[in-house]
Amino acid sequence: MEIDRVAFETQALAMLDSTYRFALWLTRSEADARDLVQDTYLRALEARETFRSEASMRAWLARILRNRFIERFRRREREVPWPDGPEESDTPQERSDEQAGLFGDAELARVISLVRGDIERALEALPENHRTVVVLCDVEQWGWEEAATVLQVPVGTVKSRLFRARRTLRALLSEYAPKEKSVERVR
Amino acid sequence: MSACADSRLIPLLARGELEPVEEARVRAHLSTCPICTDELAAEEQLTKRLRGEIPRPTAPAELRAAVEVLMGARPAVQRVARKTRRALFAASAAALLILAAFLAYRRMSPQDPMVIATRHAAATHQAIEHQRDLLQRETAEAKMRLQELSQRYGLPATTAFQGDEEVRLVSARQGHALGKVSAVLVYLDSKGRLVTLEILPAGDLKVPRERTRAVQQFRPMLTRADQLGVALWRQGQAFYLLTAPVEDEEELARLYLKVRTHTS
Repeated sequence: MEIDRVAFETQALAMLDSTYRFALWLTRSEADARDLVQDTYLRALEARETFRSEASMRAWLARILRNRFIERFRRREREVPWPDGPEESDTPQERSDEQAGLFGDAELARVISLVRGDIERALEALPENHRTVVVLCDVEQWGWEEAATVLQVPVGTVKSRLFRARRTLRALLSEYAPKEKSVERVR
Repeated sequence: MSACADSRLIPLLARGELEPVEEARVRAHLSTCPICTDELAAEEQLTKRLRGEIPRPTAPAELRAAVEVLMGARPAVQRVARKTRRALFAASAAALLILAAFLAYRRMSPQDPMVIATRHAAATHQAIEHQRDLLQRETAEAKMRLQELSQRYGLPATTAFQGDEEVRLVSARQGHALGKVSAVLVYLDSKGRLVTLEILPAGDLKVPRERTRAVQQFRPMLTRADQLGVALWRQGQAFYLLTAPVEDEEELARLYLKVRTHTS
């Protein structure tokens, strides 16, 4: 069923925080996230008639946002490495300093990554399609269907991707742990 | 990796995804299998950390204001205040301006960079208007901030209009416009109205000539958004957005000229 404009705007604005957080996770840059969110809401307004009232607004917005992110930021692929791993890779790919600073200052990104918690660093090290599924299903605690809408893949793929991503996360966390303990000892 | 065949079911168990019969079977298995017990503990620990240790920031106020403008949902309170300030507007001039703005708006699509820039400029102006009380505290540091923005981001902030006896510089801030770091200079005019000038790297951004109008030797784009006048122009490698609650286009043109001719 089509939704009226006022209800649409109210629902869309209510999802601003989660949309912004998702944008931050994708871009890893506050400036890019703000821009991406505004762009997403513009697109959403244009596509309002395609939104069905029974659908999840946050998943619909997140799907637009992710598509815009891929469309816009893949243009930079020619200049810098795309932070995405193979579609269903099991191998953790630690990003280089250059990649960590893909959408901002590389040195600043490196310093920030040092002061962040290991869990956040590990999550950042995941390829985008795995990071997204963990952010949506675990951090934001969305349902499988919503995550599937955003990623435009079947629910089964979301589940398998999440389990692979979590396995990678655990491997990364255990990799970080001894290093951090040795740093503690030096202190 | 665990060698136990049931370990593949542990993530499902940890998420409560197993059917009751299967869950009972795996739980019974746990009492005899230390590998799967460890696996379950590790999965639960990871879930706990992901839910508890990852920051979940809310959208910044400026972004919220900008999105509200985009969605046409600005609070009515502000509009009433603006309406009061503009009580002296000539009704015919206002009607003409609204009609002109509406026609200009209809000619421009929402994806148009000039539309996005104009909406952004209005949203930034309104967000600062909401925080007027903070401006006084920022005045003393404004010049230093301009230098910082100039040195750090190469923005021509120090050579921009620094105010005069009629339009006083009260604040300089770092902003974000169209995905780029910007410098936002905030002024107060002699009537106490807020004027903002945002400077960002131009990149490919350029005002199409057909949308500009002549203001002496210059050709800015003069438009309106949410009852604010917005002047847009490119100058060298920078793009400028000048926003003010002016009464008509001529007043905006005069303000533009003042700012433009002071900008080297």
